[in-house]
Amino acid sequence: MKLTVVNVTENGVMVVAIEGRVDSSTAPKFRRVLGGVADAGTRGLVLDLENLRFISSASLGVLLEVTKAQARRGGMLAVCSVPDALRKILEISGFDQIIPVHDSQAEALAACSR
Amino acid sequence: MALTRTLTIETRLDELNRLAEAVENLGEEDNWSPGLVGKVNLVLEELAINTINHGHDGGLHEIAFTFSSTEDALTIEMVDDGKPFDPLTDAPIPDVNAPMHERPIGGLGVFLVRKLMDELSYRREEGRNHLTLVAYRAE
Repeated sequence: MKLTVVNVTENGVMVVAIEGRVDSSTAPKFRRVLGGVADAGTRGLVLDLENLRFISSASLGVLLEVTKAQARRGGMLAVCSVPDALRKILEISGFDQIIPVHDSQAEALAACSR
Repeated sequence: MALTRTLTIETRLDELNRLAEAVENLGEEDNWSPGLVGKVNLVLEELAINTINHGHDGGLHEIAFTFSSTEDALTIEMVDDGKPFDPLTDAPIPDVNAPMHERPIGGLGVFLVRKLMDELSYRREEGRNHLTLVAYRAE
């Protein structure tokens, strides 16, 4: 699993690309790194999942935790460029109703800037 | 295209990588679609982590997987000597339509297993959980 900050906009939206596998063994690191990014005061956090190959319920739990933390401080979390198989997992688990899912980074940034 | 393979892992977290690698290799050898590889990967990780975290009161145990594939479907039997656990009846069904603040962290693993597999059956036999999972090749 690899997290890379790929963009920080002038109005405080950060885009983080996640690659590889986020499974039960890497979920603690995912929580630590993503939680750290969110705690740094990022108003909007966009996760680009284009190169994410695997997500399990452990990582969904982290996404929900960070989404709740962002909401508490008036921020938001969105995902973009989600591969079809992962999108299906988000739909089955109802996470697509909790976390905005965008087709591209540009679309996500536009939505976060509104 | 008929194929049978077995894999045994120990109830340690670092065995999950070996399980995932085995699934990837088997998928390649047996010509699974990327969707099927992804589903099987997810489902076996969820079930194995459940057994590793909650199946026993300590000690190192084994989880055995048998993969049998035909032209139409993949059947996986998972056997462990953990506490009795029937994923069909023993796990609460999460409310996936609840608003964010009412959603608990966790509780989705077994639900995903039930949703992603085409058939599931469970039996307890001679002190062991036997879970049979079937995934059709056609999506």
